Amino acid sequence: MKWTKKHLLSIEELTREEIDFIIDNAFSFKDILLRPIKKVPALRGKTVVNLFFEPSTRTLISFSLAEKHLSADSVNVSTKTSSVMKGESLLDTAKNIESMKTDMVVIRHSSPGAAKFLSERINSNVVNAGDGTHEHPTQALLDFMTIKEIYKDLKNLKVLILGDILHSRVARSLIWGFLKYDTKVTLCAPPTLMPLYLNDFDVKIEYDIDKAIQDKDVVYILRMQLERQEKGLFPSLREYVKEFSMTYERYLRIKDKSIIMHPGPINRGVELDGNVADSEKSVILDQVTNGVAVRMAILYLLNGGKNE
Amino acid sequence: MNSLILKNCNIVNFDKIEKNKTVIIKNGVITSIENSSKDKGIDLKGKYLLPSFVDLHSHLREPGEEFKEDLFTGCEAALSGGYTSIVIMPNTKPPIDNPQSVTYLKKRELEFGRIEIFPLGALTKNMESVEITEMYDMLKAGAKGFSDDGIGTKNSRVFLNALRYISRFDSFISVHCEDRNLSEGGQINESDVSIKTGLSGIPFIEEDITVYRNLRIATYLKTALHIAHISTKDTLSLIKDFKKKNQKITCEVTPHHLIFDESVHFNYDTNLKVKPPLKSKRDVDSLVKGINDGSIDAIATDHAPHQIYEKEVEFIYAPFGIIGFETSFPSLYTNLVLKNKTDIKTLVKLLSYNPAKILNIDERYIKTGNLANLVVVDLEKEVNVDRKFIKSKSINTPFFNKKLFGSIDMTILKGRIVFRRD
Repeated sequence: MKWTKKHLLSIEELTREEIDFIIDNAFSFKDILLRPIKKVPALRGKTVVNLFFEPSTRTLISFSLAEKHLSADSVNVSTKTSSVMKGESLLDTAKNIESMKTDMVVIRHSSPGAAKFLSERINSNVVNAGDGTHEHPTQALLDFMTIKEIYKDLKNLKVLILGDILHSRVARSLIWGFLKYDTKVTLCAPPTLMPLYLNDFDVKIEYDIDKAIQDKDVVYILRMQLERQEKGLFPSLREYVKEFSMTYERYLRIKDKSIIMHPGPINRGVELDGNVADSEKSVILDQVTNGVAVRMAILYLLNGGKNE
Repeated sequence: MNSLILKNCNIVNFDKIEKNKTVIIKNGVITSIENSSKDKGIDLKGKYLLPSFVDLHSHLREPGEEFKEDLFTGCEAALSGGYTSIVIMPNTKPPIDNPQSVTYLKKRELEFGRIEIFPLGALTKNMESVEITEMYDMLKAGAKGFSDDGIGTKNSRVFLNALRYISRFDSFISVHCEDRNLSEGGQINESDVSIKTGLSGIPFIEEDITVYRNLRIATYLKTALHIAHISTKDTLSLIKDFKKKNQKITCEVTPHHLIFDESVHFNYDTNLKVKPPLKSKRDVDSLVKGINDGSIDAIATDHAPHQIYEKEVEFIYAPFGIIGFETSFPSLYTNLVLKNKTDIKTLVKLLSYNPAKILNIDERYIKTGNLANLVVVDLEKEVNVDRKFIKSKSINTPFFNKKLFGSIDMTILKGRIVFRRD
């Protein structure tokens, strides 16, 4: 197929074919990643700005490495070093940066719709690296790639997404994508962290974690934001761990072939036991590797899918 | 003797339409309405003559936020939208919570000289819901009534006391109904749209919960109460119930809550970020039904100017509110009348006749003996909502750069032409 989109803003707007296409490309880039010399000239002479208005380690490093492997020139702008703190608007920041003749902007921002906002106002290709509680498309893509590496096909797989669904952009991107693949999705969270309106999504809701983990091919654990407790959404970490954490004891009860996934960074002992993170069923670090490959594929395709 | 003759008018009152009439106005009063002949006068052939509009809810930002709007630009905007009488809300910076501030606004009204302004004072000092204001003195200074608009009076005891204190006078009490504990941090209505867009949701019940408390207090005290900008089916049915017990209850809806439902938020357009949030299609349908069956008394703009640089930002940072004076009639005519959801007589009833009655001001009905507060509308003319069309300092409207039918060609206050479209 031929890639036609100018921006990557969400999983919702992608077709299943487009997702497959990105992942196919990502597998090729993963081969390159495994070579001693990891550089290809695909984006030589192109300038990419990583505009991060929210703290991030993993995603920022992952994008930076992907850009370097593709021979792009990139700069990182984070809230602490930009003029955002001085009261400059996102639009002015972006326009100023673009006036320096950039080609692509990778943006992470706390406002849903921020990447779309930018894509409608500047000429560069825009990649959404997480917009508030809306979507985190590159995370979902690397997750689908990781699952495909193990199961080949996502159709009819039984997947559990466990944790703070309500505030999770990762969960939204995953659900959109899984439903395009006819994956069977179960969500598990305390009711206060589960959206009240899920009628438009063909997903199962299970509040009992011990039932939820049964027969799952994939157990996807979300990061628990500790500030949710202060907002009165759950009473204590103690009870959260007891009722909703992937403890080692629960780990022993999941299917033999099941895999454990997590978008990182993990809170050991909170949403999952440290031993579960390091267990043989955990593919958490494979996700991280695939993240670089997927981001290479996306930058490559948005640039027209050509070398130089 | 000042006189004005308008010929070949199609007169629209809330209860009937009369074609091809000549309206003769002397000293601000309609002295006769006759069948048109070839006589002299302003020829309004094909156009419609309506009673001028009365807005129960607007924000002119003066004093304090004149960069968004000032009294003069706000008044020009109102006149260009066919409004000759406007209620202005007290939530300025600082709020209008004392007689001197009301006096200032009345002085500005005189300076402008071409419109009737009805300022509301705050119910509580600094709108903090702790102490009630000097309402008697504010009435004497020219306040039409009171409201803690924009926030609402959080403390039930204070709200009850305020209503009781002012109950010996007939004044217009408008309440903004919002449960801040439920709405805090929210961006749009909680629904599948908030889930899909990732914009945090406000449960719609926050409105009717607060409406219930306020109606209950007013009914307990047997006082009048006006519920501002209602947005849900449940609120409307609650109001219907209470109207049976207390005839002095009235309510308003904004044009945008009659036109847009929450599905517009998929575009993250901050010019549709409003409070109360836009609701479901089901709610919009019930509000439209409410204007037709008489359960909603008035359409009010909630004209809320914000500068482009305040709105042209990430959704979560944009302030709530949109302007409404200029587009009120054309947007309602285009989206409701032309789509057969209501008729022009109903618009006249809710934009003119009823709000004037609620405020207890000159009757908005075109007949001999009444003041000539009029608006001339060309229903077939399309207007382009661009910078030139908008008289407000701010352009925060979802209709910006869109075309609408129903041009306000002329606005007349007491027989005097106070606005004329070029």
